[in-house]
Amino acid sequence: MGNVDLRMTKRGVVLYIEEYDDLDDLFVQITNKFSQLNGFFAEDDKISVMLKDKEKHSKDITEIISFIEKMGFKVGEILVGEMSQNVKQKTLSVKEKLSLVDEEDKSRMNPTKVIKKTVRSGQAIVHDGDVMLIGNLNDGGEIIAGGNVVVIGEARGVIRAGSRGNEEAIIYAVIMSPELIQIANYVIHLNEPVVNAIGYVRNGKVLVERFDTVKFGQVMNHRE
Amino acid sequence: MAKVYVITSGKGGVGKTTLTANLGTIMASKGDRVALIDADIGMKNLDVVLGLENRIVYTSMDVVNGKVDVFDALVRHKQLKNLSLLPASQVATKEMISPDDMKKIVSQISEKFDYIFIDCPAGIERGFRNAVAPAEEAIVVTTPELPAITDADRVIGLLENMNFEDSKIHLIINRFKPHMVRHGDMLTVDDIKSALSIDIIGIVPDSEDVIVATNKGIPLALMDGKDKMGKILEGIVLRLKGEDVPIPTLEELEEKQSWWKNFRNLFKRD
Repeated sequence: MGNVDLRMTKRGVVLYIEEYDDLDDLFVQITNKFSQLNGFFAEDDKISVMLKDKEKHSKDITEIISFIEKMGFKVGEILVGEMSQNVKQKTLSVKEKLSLVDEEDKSRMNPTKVIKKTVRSGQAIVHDGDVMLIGNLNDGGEIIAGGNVVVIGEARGVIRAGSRGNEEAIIYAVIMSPELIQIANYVIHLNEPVVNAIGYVRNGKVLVERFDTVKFGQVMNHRE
Repeated sequence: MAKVYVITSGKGGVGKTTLTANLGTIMASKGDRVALIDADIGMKNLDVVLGLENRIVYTSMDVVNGKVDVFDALVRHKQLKNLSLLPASQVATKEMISPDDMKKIVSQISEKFDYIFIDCPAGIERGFRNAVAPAEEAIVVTTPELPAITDADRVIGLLENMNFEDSKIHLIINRFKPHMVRHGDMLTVDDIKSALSIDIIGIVPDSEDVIVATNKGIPLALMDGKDKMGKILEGIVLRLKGEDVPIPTLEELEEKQSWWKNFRNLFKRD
């Protein structure tokens, strides 16, 4: 038995990934496995993915899922656990069920980065996910985040949120007076500092408003 | 083993060299063995402020080139025998010395001194890295002006990147004008403190006497009749040594300022 196995279970079809060193190797094995069963699956069939070792491979989960989705399948569940090696019957003992990771939630795979210090001129915090800064962002300092940015302090440097084009990213600062705010591809310069401020994109423009005047539901439901 | 400080600021002209000379002088006058290292190669000034420019035979450049021993290059102060200066070459450039060279020099003299102050050049390039490399603690000098504060912030950031903990970085606010603060025309100490979020170890008021002292080549701390300024600088030295001396308040600084004014006026009438 290789490192990859496909089983039919109560949960439907489960792709069991035991152990691998190289992601590309794994992809080759998955491809082989599926090609053996050519014609068995219909398009848009849901399958589950089961990982033996979540800790070790958690950073690869999104890539594995997008690879499977490229092959034309939908990933229903992500499971963590063992496939027992009973001679007669291979049963699954599921330890944990992970929430479905899809493209939009990718940033969740990168946990929030929390920084407790002053970000000084010439220093930059670069992170794929959300950034939370407890401290001041000084002139000449920069935060570049793939997700949202929260500054518990005075923000005077440059803030770029949603740097991969995520227009739904928001920025919060106790005192917002940055040199530049950028969300996705939209930028704004503030003339006046805003206290307790939230920045978000609406109709192709970055708006910065006091937290208590923002209808927060609107910010969050921006997509509708 | 000596305690090694680098005195730096990023911006030029904020008083690094003058403060280096004065803090070193006060420490030496208290009996500590002090070495001052001029790291501003090609733009040396520390020897002039100390009045030692006519006594230089060898410079740090000669030491690095292996021409002389580092102890042959050290210049002893005329009055304070336990104050020494390692001069910089005026004809060399900062690129001719590496951070490792500086570390080597400092480690060679470290045994013979209690305190070593390195006077850092302006800027954040090679000269800065040379000056910071051997230091354990840093004294950042700023004036109450935005460009100086921004540069100080940048320098503190660089020091942090070089693994200086915030507790090893001290801030001196130089050229402070209490009367301007009182009229709301100058950044206050609190403004600077909140901007840089680093511990302030001293506030030095602006004084014309510094120009007089510098031109005479006598550190202000050694001049007669400058007890008040001497006290302020002494406070910084004591705080560096870990003693709990309160920083003078705005009122106290202003009082001193007007005292000087009276003193000068007295002179004018005569």
